[in-house]
Parts: sequence; C-alpha cells; structure tokens
Amino acid sequence: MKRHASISLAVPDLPRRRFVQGLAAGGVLLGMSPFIKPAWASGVNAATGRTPILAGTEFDLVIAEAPVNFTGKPAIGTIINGQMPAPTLYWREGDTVTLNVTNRMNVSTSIHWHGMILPADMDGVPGLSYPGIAPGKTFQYRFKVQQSGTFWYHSHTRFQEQTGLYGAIVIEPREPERFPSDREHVVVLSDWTDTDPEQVFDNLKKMGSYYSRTELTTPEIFKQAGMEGFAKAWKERMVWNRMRMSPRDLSDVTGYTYTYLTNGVTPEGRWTGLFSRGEKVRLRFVNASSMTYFDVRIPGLKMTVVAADGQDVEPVSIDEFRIAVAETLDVIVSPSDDRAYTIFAQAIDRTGYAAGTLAPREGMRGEIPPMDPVPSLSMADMGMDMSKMDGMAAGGMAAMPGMDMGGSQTVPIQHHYATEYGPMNTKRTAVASTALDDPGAGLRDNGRRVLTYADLHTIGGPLDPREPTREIELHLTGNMERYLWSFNGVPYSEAKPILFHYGERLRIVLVNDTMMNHPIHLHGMWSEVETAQAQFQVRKHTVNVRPAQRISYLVNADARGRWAYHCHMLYHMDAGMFRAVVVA
Amino acid sequence: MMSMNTITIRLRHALRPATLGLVLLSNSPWVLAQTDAPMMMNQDAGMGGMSMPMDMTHDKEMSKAPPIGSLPSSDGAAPKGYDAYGVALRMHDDPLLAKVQIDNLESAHSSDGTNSQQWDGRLWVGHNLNKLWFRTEGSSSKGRIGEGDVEALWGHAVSPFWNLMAGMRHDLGTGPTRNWAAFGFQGIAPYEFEFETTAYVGPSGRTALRLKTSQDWLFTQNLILTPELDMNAYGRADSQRDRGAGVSDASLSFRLRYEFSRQFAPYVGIQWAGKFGETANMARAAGAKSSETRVVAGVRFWF
Repeated sequence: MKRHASISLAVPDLPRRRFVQGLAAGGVLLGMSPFIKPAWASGVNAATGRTPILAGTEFDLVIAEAPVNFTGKPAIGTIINGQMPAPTLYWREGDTVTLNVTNRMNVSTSIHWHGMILPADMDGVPGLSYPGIAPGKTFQYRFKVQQSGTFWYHSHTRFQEQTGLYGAIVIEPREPERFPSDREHVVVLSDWTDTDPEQVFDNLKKMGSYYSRTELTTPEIFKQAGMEGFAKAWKERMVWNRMRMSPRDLSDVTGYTYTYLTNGVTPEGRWTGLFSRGEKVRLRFVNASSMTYFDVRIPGLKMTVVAADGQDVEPVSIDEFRIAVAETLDVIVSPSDDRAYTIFAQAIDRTGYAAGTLAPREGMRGEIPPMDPVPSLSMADMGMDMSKMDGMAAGGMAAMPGMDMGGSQTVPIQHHYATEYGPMNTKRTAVASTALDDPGAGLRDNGRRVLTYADLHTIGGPLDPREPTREIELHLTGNMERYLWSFNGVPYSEAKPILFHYGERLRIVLVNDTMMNHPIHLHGMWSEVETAQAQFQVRKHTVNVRPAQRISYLVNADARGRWAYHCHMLYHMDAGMFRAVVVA
Repeated sequence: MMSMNTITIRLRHALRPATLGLVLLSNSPWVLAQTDAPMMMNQDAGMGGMSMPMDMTHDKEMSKAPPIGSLPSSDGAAPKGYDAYGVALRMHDDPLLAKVQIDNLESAHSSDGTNSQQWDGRLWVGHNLNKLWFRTEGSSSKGRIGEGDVEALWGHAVSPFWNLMAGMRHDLGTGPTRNWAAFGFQGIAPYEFEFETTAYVGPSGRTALRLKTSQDWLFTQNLILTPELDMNAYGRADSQRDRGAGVSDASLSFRLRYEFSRQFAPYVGIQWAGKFGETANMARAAGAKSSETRVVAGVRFWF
C-alpha cells in the first residue's frame, strides 16, 4: 500500500498585473504541510511546475475551499489537497485503486473520473452514481483500472469545476508504452474567473452576450466594405442581423472575465517544463476548462499526436490542434535547439490565451506570438441551405476550403423533433456538415497543419465488430438570447432518461442546431466516432460537435447502471444540456 | 525482448487482431529510444527518420457499419420518468431569477429652456419561459410627475425571441387616473430590433396602442449608440389627460452610452418629441409647444 500526502506551495505575492495575464505568482494561497515527495513519482519525469503527483494504489484526497489569487483579486477556490489543479494521479493499468475523498467544505461535493471505464456506482455523479459526498464525510472509491493513458478528474457538483476542482490522471500501461518518450509533462489547460460562477451563470441568463467582447461593430462594416465592396458587406451583415445572431458568437464566457491557466499558472507566471536537447518529450494535454476551447501550438516545433482521450492513435504530425473542453491529447515533441519554446493556447474567441514554456533549463521564457484574428462563423456554420442563398452567402463561403459545397460532405437534415420548434431552440440546421476534416472556424486555411478528427485513427480499431442495431438521434439545441441549452429542445428537468439495452451496440447521431461547438461526453462507455460513410475513426470519451455538424458514433451498452450524458461546457450542462442514460 | 521485425501489437480491447497490420521497424527513433517496447508507427507521421513499410489500414469492410440513417431511429427516451429508474438527479436548469433594468434614467434639457427628468425601466422575476414583468416609464419636472405609467404583466415565451405579454397598466401624473388591461408582444425582431408593442383597453371602451423599438449600434465594444422610437395612439380623446384620438405623440432619440461594465453605462443623447393631431392642438391651446428637441444625459444600468 502506498499513501502519499501532497505538495503545496504558498506564494502570497500579489503585484497587480495586466488582468488577463494574471499574477506572476498567483495560485493557491494555502500552505499545507508537511508533505512528502513520493519516491515513486520522482522516477517519472515529473513536471517542473508546481502540480504535484500522487502515485500508487491508495490515495487520500481532501477537498476544501481555500483562498486563491490569480489576478490580484483574492477569491475562493475549491481545491484538492491544497492544490489547483489537483494533484496528478498516477495509476497503473490493471491495479485496483482506492481513493478516499474527504469533503471539508460546507456544501456537498463529488469527484468524477472522466473517461474511466468503471462500475456505475464509482463514477461520481451525484444523483446518478451516488448521493454525492456530504460535508465532513469521506467517500471511498475503489475500482480496477482497465485502461491506460491520459485522463482527468473533476467535481460533478454544480460549478465546483470552475473554481478549481480538477486534476489529471496518468495511467501507465501494463505493457511498455507504445510510444515511449524520454520525459513527459502533464499540461492542464483551464479557465479561471474571480467572479462567483453562480454569478457568471446568472449574468448569462440575464444577458446571453454578457461576456462577448468581440462583436462586429458598425465601423467594421466599412473596413469589410473596403475589401469586398459595400453592398456585399452590408448584405452579409444584414443576413446575420436578420437572424438575430452574431458571427462572433464563439464563446459564452471569454477573456472578459477569464484568466487562462497552464497547470494552474497564469501566462504571466508562465509554467515551465524542462527538456534536454534531443529528448522526446511527451506532453499530456488536458482541457480542464469550464467553457474554453483552446487552439494550441508550439511555434518552432512539430507535434506528433500519439493519443486522443487516452487512446493510442496512429501517430500524426501537426502544427496545431483545437482541444475541446474535457478532451485530452498526447503529443510528442523533439525540441532540438537550446532555446525556450512557448506552448501557446489561444482561446477560440481570441480574447486571451494560456501560455507555458518548454525550456532546457529554468529561468528561460519563450516568446508569445500574436494572437490570430478573431474568427467569424460562416453561413455554413449556421447550417443554412446554401442552395437557397444568394451570391452573397456563397461568397462568404470562400474562406471555407474544407467544405465541399458539391454536397458530398454535407447532408440535409430532414427531420427535426417537434420540441425543437419552441422557445428553447433558436434555429434548426437545414444542411449539416459531415466533414471530419474541417478544423472549424478560426483554423481553416491558416497555413498551419491543424489536427482534425479525420487525422485520428485509434490503433486496434473498434472495440466490437458487431454492427449497431438502432440509432438514437439527438439534436443539440439552444437559445443564446435566453441562455437555454438542451437536447432536442428539452432540458434535463423535462426529459426522460435515455434507455440503452444492456448488451446492445447502438449508434448515436448528433446534429448540432446551434452556432457553438459542444463537447458531448458519455460516461461509462466509449464513443467510437465513425465517418459519414459509417467507417470507424477514433475512440473518444468526449466528442466535439461543430456548429451545424452531424457526427455519429457507436456505443457498446456494456455497463449497467445510471450514467451521465451531457455537454461538457459547464454552463450549458447546468442550463439543461444533459441526459441521464440508463443501461438496463 | 521482441525481435525487430515481428513486433506484435498489444491489443487492450481490440477483437480483431487479424485485421491489424504487423509492423516492421527500421531506423526508428522510437526504437533508439526504447528498443524493447511494442510499438507501431504510421508512415504519415512525418517525423524525421521514420520510414517503415507497414500496413496500418484497418479492414474497411469489417469496421464499416450500416449507413447512418438506415437503422431504426428514435430519441432514445425511456418509457418512464426518472423515478422509475432510480435517477435521483434533479437539475436546476430553470432557476428563479430577477432582473432590474433601468434603460434610461435621465435629465432632459429642452430647447425652450425647461428641464425635466425621464425614466424608462423594467423589472422581471421568473423562470426561463414565464416571467412576471413590471415596466414603467414617464417624466417629471419640478418634482411632479407629468405623465407616466406602470405596468404589471405576465410574460410568456412563445418563440425563441418573442414573449406574449398580458396584464395591466396604471397611468400616473396629471389628470384622472386611468387603468387599462394590457396585451402585447415583446422581443427581438429580425435585424436586431428590440421591439415592444402593447394594446390597451380601459373601462368604458377606451383603447390605446404603444410601440417602442430600438437598436444598438456598436462603435466599439463599449461605445454604443441606441436609436429609439416610441409612439402612442388612442382610440378616442381624453381631454382630461390632454390626449387626442389617433396618434397622440411620438419621440425619436439617440443615446450614446459608454459601458464601463456590462451593467453600468452613462450616456448623452438627443431626443425629438412631438405631439400630433388633436393632442397637438390641445398642447398649443394650453400654451405649450407641440414638439420639442431635448438634450438628455443619464445612466443605464441593470442588476
């Protein structure tokens, strides 16, 4: 039995910095001592950042509220063992792990092991797996680790994830790593706000565009007119205005309130991971954000993607990837120069970024590249039927080489549920993109090799050769104006559970009616994404669905019990974009 | 230690080992890094030094499922509700919220030198689709309310952008008190017009109609110009309140605000207000002008 306390650093140094940059020495202001550095852990190429690692088969995790400071303004975080992010948990495939989670807060809490295949009562979703962990109580999780790779864990109670209750899980495979590296770093990306998340949610409910700071302005129409003529610019703007929508509606919560963190460190503080020249460095990216998609690149380095959502994939070399909320991605880089490299993670709406440094020694800093222009959604992102649009809208398509307007990568959506026509849902996708090779608005045609799902091939193919026997079609619906989110126009509170028959293999078809990306996460079972031609593509625990995209995946209903199924955008989830799945 | 050319693939869950290609490794940096590991590489990995003849192609036939849309389809909903399946989770996806929104709270200085105060605000309490609204607008000068009203309405969302409004209105200010039943719509019209229209019916057959519309023009994310058009009409004259039949009055205003935050914005603006027809005659008879231009300054806020 191994039992380790965690590490904590108290650095109460509070100079005011530019807000989005955050404090150089921000973070948890709580000192917990004494601590023991795990001997086992030091054998792993531990990060030089401050996130400690815990390894073994038995863990004590203590959840408490603690003062934190990332921006110069003191706030309260919900943290584990005095750490934010929570300690990285190192497990071994095949081990049975025991986790004693103690709640030292005065509200209920929970921990969900994201992407783990485990019994339903160990999944950590209050009201589905168990009642949650009451104040002062300890819940013991115990399950066999049946997989390996990069995963993460987080609270599944209200907005505790937003206030810091998340950490990475790294599971060492039973067999040696398929893609060995000389060193590895966990890179947990997240978003922090000083505002109480209950207040953030209320703000959004009262004004959907509350945090939107990149709206197209009136003068910009003249700028646009200079490029493409006034008539066209005006017409295009009018199309959006007629729909009462904004082509800049990329994120609900933005850098207007968020400070973006790398392993809990602000861009100003700049988390640093070390390498030795010539080493193969594995970076285990986890997007532990509540609401932020990141576009990640390391200028000067090619990244070889070797795993997605903890599942080994055929290696693919890229310059940049978009990581949806709750996804994980493992890449290997080989920095060969004696210089600092910047891990640059722009928020999808370009209102800020997380940044870290890869350097051959401490004290070095990479340069921060300029952020890309703010992307605008196209009419195709809106799921408009282009055949019914005039030349203007088609002109808007010029910037979308990924889309085949001949129709081979689009499909008309003939059927919408009656419940999608009410006030819960603003629009219905008429023509959906089925393209897996579209990197999405803001990354199309940017001159860099950008990862898409079409590049991800899970090694070993699907888990089960059986054909699916039925389909469950769900439409992702929402109303930005009223801040309502749901499946099929029906929020969780008004829905019934989704029933999977134990032992069946079924297909889930998702159609995104909204103009936002949604990372859809099924607990307890894998989501095996397929191409539009129904061919296996990649095994995921969280599937991103672009605006106006149709995507499908196969699920083996091999895990009895009650499971959560939801959009992993935290405020979308709590607004009702959630279903209970019952496997019986 | 495995031999270099027959490295088998570790299959954690895969059920079709035969469909996977064997990997031949040569000169791989991976091998240099750790020669005893089972591994497989893809040719298009694009990493220097990796050139491995290999067949990573999965068996297309085996992994190809029936076409999407060809299978029996449903929304997957269980026949019974949460309780039947032991689902205890209840989400607060329809919270009770309240919002106080003061669009205009301003001081107006008219071209003839008179000063007045004007307000236009609303409050709602309620859930996603059903809210109780209070709306009020009016003006006062020298501490006395000239004209104005308060409304209490039930607002029900009938479409993504529109609410049906039903309730009552109570007139304030000079003249006898008038009460009205109110019925109308409120929402966002195409082209992003904030739009409000309400029909009123009073005792003894009085009728009235009010229309308000505005739009936000962003100069920057913080500097916003809001043109607004307001109009009132009455079914028949009400001389005690100086209202004629027909369109009685209208105003067009332009307010330029600076949002120090989303919730607080001071502004300056200009307003043209006019009375028409019979109402204009009544005003002139009382020695007042039938139209005037005002400079306004005030604050807009909500919480």
